Amino acid sequence: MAFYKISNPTDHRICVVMVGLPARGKTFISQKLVGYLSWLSIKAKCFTFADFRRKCGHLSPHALEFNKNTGVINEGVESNDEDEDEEVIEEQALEQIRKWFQSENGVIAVLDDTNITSNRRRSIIEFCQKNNIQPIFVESWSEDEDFVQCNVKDMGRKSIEYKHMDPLEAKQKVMENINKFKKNYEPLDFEKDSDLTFVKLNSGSKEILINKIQTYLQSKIVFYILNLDLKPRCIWLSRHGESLYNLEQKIGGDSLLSKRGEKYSSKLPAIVKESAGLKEKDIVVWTSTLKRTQQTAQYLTNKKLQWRALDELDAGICDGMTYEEIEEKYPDDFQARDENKYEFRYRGGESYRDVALRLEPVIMELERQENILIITHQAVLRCIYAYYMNIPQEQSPWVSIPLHTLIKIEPRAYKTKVTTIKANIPAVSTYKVKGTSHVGEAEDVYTKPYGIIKDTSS
Amino acid sequence: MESFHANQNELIDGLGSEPLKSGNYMARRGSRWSIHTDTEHQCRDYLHYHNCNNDDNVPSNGSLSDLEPPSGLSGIYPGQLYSSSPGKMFHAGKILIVLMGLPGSSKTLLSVAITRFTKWLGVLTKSFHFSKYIEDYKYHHTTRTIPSLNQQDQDFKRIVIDKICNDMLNFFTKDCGQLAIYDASNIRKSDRKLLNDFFSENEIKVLFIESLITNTAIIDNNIKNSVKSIKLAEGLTQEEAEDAIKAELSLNKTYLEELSIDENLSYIKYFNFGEKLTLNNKHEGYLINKIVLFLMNLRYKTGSLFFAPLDYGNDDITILSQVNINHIQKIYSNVLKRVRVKGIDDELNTSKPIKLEKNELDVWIAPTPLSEQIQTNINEQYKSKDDKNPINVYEKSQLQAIHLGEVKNLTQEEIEKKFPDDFKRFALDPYHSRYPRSESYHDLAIRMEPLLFELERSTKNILIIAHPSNLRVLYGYFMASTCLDLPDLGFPSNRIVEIQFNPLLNTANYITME
Repeated sequence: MAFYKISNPTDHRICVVMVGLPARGKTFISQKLVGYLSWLSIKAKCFTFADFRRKCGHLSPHALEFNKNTGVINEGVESNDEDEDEEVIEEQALEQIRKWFQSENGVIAVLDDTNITSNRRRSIIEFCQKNNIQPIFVESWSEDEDFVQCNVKDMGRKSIEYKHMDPLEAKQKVMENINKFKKNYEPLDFEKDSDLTFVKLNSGSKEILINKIQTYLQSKIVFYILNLDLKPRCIWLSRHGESLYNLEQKIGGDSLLSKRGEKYSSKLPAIVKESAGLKEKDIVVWTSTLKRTQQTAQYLTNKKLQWRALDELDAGICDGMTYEEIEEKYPDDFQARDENKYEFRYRGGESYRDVALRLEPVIMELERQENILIITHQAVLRCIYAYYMNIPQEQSPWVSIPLHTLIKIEPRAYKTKVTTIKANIPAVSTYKVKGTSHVGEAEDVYTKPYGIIKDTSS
Repeated sequence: MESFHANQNELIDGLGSEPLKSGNYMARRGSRWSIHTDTEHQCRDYLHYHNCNNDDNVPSNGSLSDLEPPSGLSGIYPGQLYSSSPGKMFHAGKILIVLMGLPGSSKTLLSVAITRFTKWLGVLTKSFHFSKYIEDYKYHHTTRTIPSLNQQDQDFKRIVIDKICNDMLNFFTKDCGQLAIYDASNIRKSDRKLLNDFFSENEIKVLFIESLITNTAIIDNNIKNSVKSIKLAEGLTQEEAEDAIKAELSLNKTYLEELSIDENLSYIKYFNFGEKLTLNNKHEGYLINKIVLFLMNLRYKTGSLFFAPLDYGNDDITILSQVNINHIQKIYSNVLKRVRVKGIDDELNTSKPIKLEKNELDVWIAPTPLSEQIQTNINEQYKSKDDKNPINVYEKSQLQAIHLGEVKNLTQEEIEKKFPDDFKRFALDPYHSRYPRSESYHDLAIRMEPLLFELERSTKNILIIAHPSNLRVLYGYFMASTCLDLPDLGFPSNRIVEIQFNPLLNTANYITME
């Protein structure tokens, strides 16, 4: 992203080092952070030791670190071998990070591991200093039993180290490791670690400590993490019902709903109820300031908020024209848009990048709030969907988001789950095929990886 | 999905009953982030009102307290980044920030800096300074902050506080304000509880920010600053005035009750300008987090900023390929002279000269292939021999000039002829309008936001050499210009603008090049 471009990339290599006991939401934070940075076009990648441990034949990494730091021997395994293995593992993982910075011009690496001892953290700092990387530590600290249990369950089922086990056994294993770990845990604090750049989150008391932020980019990382709430949540997305302009194949405008669009709006409360169940009454509805989204929300009795940031991509002078008219009147623009749809700006209007940018407040609020239903427009939904599903920029403007469909998104540490419910009310397609003014999904949209919203298997 | 797809042909072709209307009969009225059309005229009036003291549209000494919109504006603040309806920015609701801390802990600076930043975002913000109110009442200064005095002083203090609370409440309810900042010591738990209860009852979120300064250089500098005003008011000598303030400070210390978790308030503890922060924030929300982001980057400044415009001529404006190195040298030598004179002045004017850190002059320059050459050149000419570190010349990509797109190399007449509609739009709203393939000032401000934070982080003297468009955005931020006057700011090529930081009000001066 042009405006986040960094003057001297070598001055701005950052390694975000996660710190905390297992099941404290570290993986969730890492994944979200990498997703957000990629969405902003900052090159970021998540690294975990788990992959290396598996390669070395160790399935229970946390015990290993425990062993390393206490000398306690696991049954049937010689301590010396493990020590050496663990050092090799650490070295290999750090080496991979170094290579990534160098060969791929990486900007932010996220090291998703426990890193609970000062010693381990010191050796990471040494590595960073050698390679001109700024370390920033992110500690997730929690005594909230419900929160931990919820994460334990998730880990047992999805994490690479445990998912091959029986769920009960896995859960027990995670708990065992947590308990072993607690003895060696050295949390970060202002006194002892006053020279480190760190942020410490406490999900129970909501207290947050921030220490020695040294660059703007570091502050931006902390800013994003401040907005994260680690509790599991759902978000519902819907386009407005079919509008009169949709029927006429005109883009933009502030038109009213068609008869079928009206029908969708009257059916929406029932669909929402079907998807949300008991949570339905807690849902807050966010719409844009344009009439068609408010009309779509008209029969929902929930609290409603309007956001100008959710208004449709402004087509400028092409507002209210059909694709055919645009092709005829502004052939160069029409072609330029297909070549680089993400960056293309209609005259006097906006590009997808502009939309993504103005969505920042919405995205941040979404990370904190629970039970939100967003009723908005095609381009805006594409940007929001791309954020949650880590869809690359070149592809996000080509995602097909059908009318009269409710999309439920459940972001989790290991996977984001998507469920769609169709209202079974016919509507036109507003999907424009690349290179033509033809509207309606081409056949190949179903075979492209991000072509169309699919339900994920749970 | 399959069924949806199968229905499509039937849908598109089978509408039948009603003939389709043509033309854009339900057009969108508001566009992008620009100010609502019906208030545009009022905004233009406001621009006129605000600019009437300027000669030839040159940068003026923008004053924050003067920047309240006139009554006709119905609470819309023409901020640079977004323009919002009253109280609606980010659905953040109404927020009161209460500062607390001992005298000399930079509370006034903090309140003004936050005000400047949130106004730039487009949030209608106002600072309420306890000291200003006291001045208005022309009361003896020692009652400013001391908590326990005779009954008469106590009663008086109560009256002032009631007046401020009342004014703040009116700001929220009558003037459509979204963020008020209360700048007073508030060192007693009881004071804080009263404030929190009163405003919470009125559905205003209250956030406390405690400023804790242990850096003695900052405290001394703050005392020095307040001495100036006391000396004037009471005819004291330098020593007498300093002693008076120090007495006040130590008395306050005995009454200080630091913010603590059991008060059950939302708060930020802010140590030595962002060295570390403790947050205990129950309200959260985007706007408050954005303020935290700002606080993480704010630093106590002793240096100045210098803006030197570069004449790009008819060159490709986005890449600076031809720079006259002699010209840059000349700029640097002029600014360096000024920096040194200022350094001597500071030492003469104070009993204890303060130097927070070595304060020579860095250069930030728009991207140019010649940046290395410039660096070598400047270092050869101006680096003193006993200084081990080189003079830094940073190339900043955010200083790329505004992209002119298809109006590049065109005169105003040619533009009017080629893009008549855009030209008219531009005349109405030069801040948000774009010509084809070009950037607006609004785009530029968004692109430059990281640079603003970097400047807030810096404590040095910095010389910024860039296109006037970039300088306008920077100037507009530090001098709290609105988006209405920003595009008209002038930067004559033979003059350099110096911005000096002051707690209440930044000032801008010209340096005419020799």
